Amino acid sequence: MVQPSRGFGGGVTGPKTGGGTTNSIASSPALITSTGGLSGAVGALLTPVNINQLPGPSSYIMIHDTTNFDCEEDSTYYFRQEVGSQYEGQYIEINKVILKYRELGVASFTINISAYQQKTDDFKTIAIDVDIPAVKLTIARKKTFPDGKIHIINIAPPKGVIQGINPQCYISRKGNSGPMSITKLILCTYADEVPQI
Amino acid sequence: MSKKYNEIVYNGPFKGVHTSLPEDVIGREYSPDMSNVILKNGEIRSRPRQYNYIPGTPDNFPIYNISSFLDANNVFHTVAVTQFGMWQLNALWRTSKTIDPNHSWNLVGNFADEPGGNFPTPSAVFTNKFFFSIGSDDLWMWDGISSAGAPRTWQASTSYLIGSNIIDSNGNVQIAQNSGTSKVSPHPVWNAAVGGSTTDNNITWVNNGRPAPSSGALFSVAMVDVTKGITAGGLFLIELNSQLLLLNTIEGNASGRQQFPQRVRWCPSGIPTIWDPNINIGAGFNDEIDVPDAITGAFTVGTTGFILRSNGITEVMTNGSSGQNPFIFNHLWASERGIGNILPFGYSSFGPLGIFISVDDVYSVSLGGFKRVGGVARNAIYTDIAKATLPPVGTIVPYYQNNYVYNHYRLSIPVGNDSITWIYSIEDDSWQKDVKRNVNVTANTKWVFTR
Repeated sequence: MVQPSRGFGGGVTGPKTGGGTTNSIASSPALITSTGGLSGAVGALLTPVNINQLPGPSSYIMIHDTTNFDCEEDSTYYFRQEVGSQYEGQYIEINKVILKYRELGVASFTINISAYQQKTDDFKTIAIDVDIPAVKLTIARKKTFPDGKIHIINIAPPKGVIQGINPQCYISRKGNSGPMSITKLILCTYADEVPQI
Repeated sequence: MSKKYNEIVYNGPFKGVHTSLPEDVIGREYSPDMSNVILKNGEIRSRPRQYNYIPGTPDNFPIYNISSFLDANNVFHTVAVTQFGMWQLNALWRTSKTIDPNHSWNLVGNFADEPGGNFPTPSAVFTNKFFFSIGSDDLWMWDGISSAGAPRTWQASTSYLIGSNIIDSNGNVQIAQNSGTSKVSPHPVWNAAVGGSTTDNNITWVNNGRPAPSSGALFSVAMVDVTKGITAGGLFLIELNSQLLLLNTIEGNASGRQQFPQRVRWCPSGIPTIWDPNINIGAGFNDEIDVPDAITGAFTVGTTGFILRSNGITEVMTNGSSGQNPFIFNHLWASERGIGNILPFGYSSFGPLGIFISVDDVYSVSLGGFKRVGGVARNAIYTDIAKATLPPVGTIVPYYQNNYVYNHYRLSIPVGNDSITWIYSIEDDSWQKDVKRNVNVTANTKWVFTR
């Protein structure tokens, strides 16, 4: 019985149909070298993707590079909404932000603080831009930058004290603006000791 | 009026997204929303950079599987499967003057008249060979050594491994039932009857009928009915008890093909080139017709297999027999509605842990049983799953690199032109979210060799 042709494609040299071949290559793997291959010395975590843009090739293999935390996309992190004082619904003032971060390289991001304004029934958001390094580096210091250590910055809001109810802080970072790594964030607040009327 | 000083302190360990309570009630270690940060080691850090590293294959089709395997010569191969065919990564891809698809990939074999499906391709590495099925009626095999897919002719005084296939002088495929060394010339007198045995020194060959299709260096191995020339592929492929299992099969020949969404087929132990029970009683199949739903996935946890259905789960255990009926199928539940897997490509397993997505929650399966892991981020995860415009793809990734270990499960959800990836940290029990614009994930994320 002859096997019906299933339509075979081309590619690597060799018989194209599966019947009665006379290939004389030995069958023992030890006598045949592999076809192509890699040494296995280096590997990576890869994801096949389809790029949705025109024109040009659309299929690529994407790498997850843990030697580089400069994420190419925008990053955000929201903290919870706070009371900020002993009593709910109380106006508070935020006059300082203490930021502790790990120095991984030149980076820029923004600390945003949003607080409710009862008079306008709206939220007011203050943006505090942070640049790493925070100061101009000396020649000696440039040699050790980035040092991978935890640094600390005391930041005063640029437009003065932030006032409002139920503040909420969130971090935003534009893509390709450097590696950001926050270990601790502290909002320093003041509020009346007794409940407000 | 005097004022009181207060500090609102945020520090790790951070526990990821929490959408099960209002944002003014959740703990400070949680976040109501985040994107593109990684919370490893108690830091809020922008996630590792993702960029195009290797060009796609020259056919420019989406890649539905990328894998590495070690062949019998101890050589690694990294392969990619598309609708067009299977490609191998060229060892010199980074050293050529132009890093482009034609210099990066070499064609192993293509599917001329049976283009692959539009979904992730199941694969398995077994006995130093790479097996995969593209949603048609073929289970393709490449051993990394052959440059021709069709079986080779018999050679005298040659070592053959169990499962080796040759073409005999009658044009039939003979498969070695055991490892051994062939006799001196001339070749043995071949048993021309399908299923008949031939003794060749200390090797027993069995006649497996006419050859199945081949394409370049690819060889279709799952001939499930040798007499009628019927081959099989499947939507899912696992290895259990030294046997390959094809699930939700597609079977046919040149006259036509049919899908069997409740069928499980297996090969004999250690012999992935025999699938017809009439040739070897170690091969077989089972139709799960006592449950109402179709097979939507399969994985192994330890020595137990789990067949995922849309509304239930079937446990598969070996019964200690290598002959007929080597498996016991135990439906953990078999009702019309129940915990099952609703994303056919969203499940994954790694060692003693498996994760799948049901209608009501994300579940993990381990030796200790089932556990809900959607947790406090479940609502946000399912909101994004509902937006999916293509099948979501799930993978468990134990590490990024040897020096960056972060065991996590990734569920990539295509939403229009973009991808939302929910990341479950298995060690922290926390969920994080990534957003990648203008990109859809087409296959599982895997660690593969690149050089």
